[in-house]
Amino acid sequence: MKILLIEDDENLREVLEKRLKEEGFVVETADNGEDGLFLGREFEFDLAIIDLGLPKVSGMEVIQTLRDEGQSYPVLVLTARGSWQDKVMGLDAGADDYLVKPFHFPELLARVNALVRRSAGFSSPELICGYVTLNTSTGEVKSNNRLVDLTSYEYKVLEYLMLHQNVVVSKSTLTEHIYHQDYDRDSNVIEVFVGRLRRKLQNKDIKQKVIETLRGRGYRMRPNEEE
Amino acid sequence: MDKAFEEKTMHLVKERLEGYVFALLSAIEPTQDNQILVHENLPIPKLEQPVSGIYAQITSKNYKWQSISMFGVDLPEPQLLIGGETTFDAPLTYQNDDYFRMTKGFIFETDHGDIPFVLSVSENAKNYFRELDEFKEKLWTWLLFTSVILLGIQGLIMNWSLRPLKRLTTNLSDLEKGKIDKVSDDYPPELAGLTCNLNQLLSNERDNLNRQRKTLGDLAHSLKTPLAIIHSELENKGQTNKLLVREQISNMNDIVEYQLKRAAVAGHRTFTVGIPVIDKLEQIIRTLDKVNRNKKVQVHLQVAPGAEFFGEHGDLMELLGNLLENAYKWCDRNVSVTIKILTLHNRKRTGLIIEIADDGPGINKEKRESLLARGVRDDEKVKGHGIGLSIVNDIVESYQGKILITNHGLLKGAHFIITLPP
Repeated sequence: MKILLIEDDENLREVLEKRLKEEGFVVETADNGEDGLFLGREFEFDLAIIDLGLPKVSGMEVIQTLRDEGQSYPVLVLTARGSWQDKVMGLDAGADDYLVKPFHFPELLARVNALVRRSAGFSSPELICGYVTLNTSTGEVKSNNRLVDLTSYEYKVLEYLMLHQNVVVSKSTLTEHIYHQDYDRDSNVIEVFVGRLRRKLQNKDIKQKVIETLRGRGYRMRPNEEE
Repeated sequence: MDKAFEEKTMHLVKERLEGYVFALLSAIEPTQDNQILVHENLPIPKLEQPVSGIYAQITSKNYKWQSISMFGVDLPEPQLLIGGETTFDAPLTYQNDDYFRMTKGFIFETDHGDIPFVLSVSENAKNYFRELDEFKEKLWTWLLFTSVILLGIQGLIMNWSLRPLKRLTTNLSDLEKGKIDKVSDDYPPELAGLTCNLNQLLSNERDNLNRQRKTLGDLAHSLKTPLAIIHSELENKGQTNKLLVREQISNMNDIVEYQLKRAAVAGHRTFTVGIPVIDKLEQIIRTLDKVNRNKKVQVHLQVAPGAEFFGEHGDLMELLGNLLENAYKWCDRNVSVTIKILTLHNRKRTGLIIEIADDGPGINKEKRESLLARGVRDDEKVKGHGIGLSIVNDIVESYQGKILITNHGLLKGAHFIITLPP
C-alpha cells in the first residue's frame, strides 16, 4: 500500500513515516503543500494523509486541487484545532476522514486501514476472496480456515491483490505499491512472491487457482474462477 | 407679505378713485349750448374743502373745471383721452408731491352733437405712503419679535430633548474612565433600547473575558497535577512507569483540548444575525455520513421552517457536531433530530429547542446525573466522559440554556433535549 504523507512538522512526519513503514506501507513524504501536491498529482497512491495547516499551499487547497483533478484515493485529514468548522470544511473539500492532533498511532493506523478497505469496497476489516481471508487489523491470513504464515512482502502483495479483486494488476503496479520509489526494483521478485503465495495458499482438495496469471498483463484474484 | 399689502392697498385706492369719478359724473350734465354744467352740491364733500387731498378736474374742448379743493394746489392738466379710455397714474409726481390720478374719457351725446370730455380725480399719495411705511415698520417689528420668541422656544426644546444624549455621553466617558461599570437605566423610551443593548454588550464582553481568564487559570492549575506526577516518576530511581506517564500525558491532552474548546465558546451575543440551523445541520450530517459511511445511519430530520440560532457560528457547529457525533457513535441505525422554534413575548429574537436521539443503548440515570453534575471542578469534569458533551454543556450554559438527558420513548436510546432561550 502506498501512502502520501504531507506534514510540515518534522518530528511528527518522521515518526509517522517510520511507524507506517514498519506496518508495511510504502510512504512518500512532503513537508509543504506545494511538494505534496506535486507528488499527489504525479504518482499513484492508495491513500493520502494531509495536515491542514501547511506552508506554501494549505492542506485544504491540496485536497481540493487533487479532487478537482480527478484523484480519487482516500484522504485522511490531520487537524490541530479539531473544531467542527475545520472538520466540515476538510470533508467538504474532499477528505474522507479526520483525525485530531495529538493522536495515538494505533488510531491513525485503524483509520488508514479502514479508509483503504472502504475505497476497495470492503466494510469489515476482513477481506475475503474465495477461500482466502485476510484480516487487515490482525494481519492474519487463512486459506480454507487454515492459518497461513506469510512474510511481510508476501502479505503486501496478497493484500493489494485482494483489495483489487477482479482487476488485472500489472507487475509494475505491484512493484510501485510495495516498494519505495528509490528502491532498486526487480520485477522478477514479484514473480517469486506470487509463486510462493500460490504454494502457501494452495489447498489439496480445492482445484481453484488462487491467483491467476494473465500473460504479459499481470495477476488477478477472483472469488469464483468458474464465473 | 409687504408686497401683498402694497398691492391690495393700491387696488383699494384705484377702486376709490374710480368711485369718485363715477360719483362726480352723476353731478354733471350737458347744457343747451354744448357746455358742461357741474351741480353745486357735489356728492364728494372733500372736493369742496380746500387742500383736502382729493382733487377733481373736468376738461373738454372749450371748458375747464376744477374742484374747490384744488384752490392753491397746482396739478398738471389731465391727459386728453377719447371716450371710454382710462388711465391710472400711480404715482404721478408733480412739484415734489406724489398723487394717484384716475383719468377717464367720456362723451355726452346730445341732440346738438357729441360733447367729449375728460374727468380726472387725484388723491394725494402722502397718506398712502405714510400708512405703508407704518405697516412695514409694524410688520418688521412683529416679525423680529416672533423670530426671537420662536428661536428661544426652539433652543429650549433642543436643550430639553438632547439632555439624555448629553447624559449618555457623560456616562460613556465615565465608563471609559472606569468610574461606572454600566450605563444607568433611567433613559427615555427612545434611548432605552440603545442603553439596554449597550449594557447587554458590556455584560457579555465582561462574561467572555471572565470566562477566558477562568479558562486560563483552570488550564494552568489542572496541568500542574499530571506534570507533577510525570516529574516525580522521571526522578524515580527505579524503572520509569511508562504506563503512568502515558496516562498522565493523555490526561493533559484531554485537559488542553477541553479548555481550548471552552475558551473558544463565544456565548450569548447581543448583536448577531440569525444563522439558519438547517444549513449547519446538513453540513454536519454530510460530514458524519462520509466518515461513518459503512454504518449507513438513517437520520430523521424535523426542522421547523425558519429556525435560526442567534449566536456565534462556531458555537452552533460545536453544539450540533458533538451531539450528532455521539448519536452516530452510539446508534444502531437511527438518529432523530428535531428542531423547534421557541418564542417568548417581549422578545424580538427566537430561541430553539434542539432534540437529538438515537436507537443505541441509552444512558443510565446515574451517568446522566454525573454528566451534568454541578460543582465538579472543570478539569475533573473531563475525566471519564466525552469532552464533546462537556463542551456542549458549556455552550448551553453560556446561552443561559438548559440541557436534559433522558431515554427516547420510541428509539429507546439517549435523548438530549436542549433549550436555548431567545
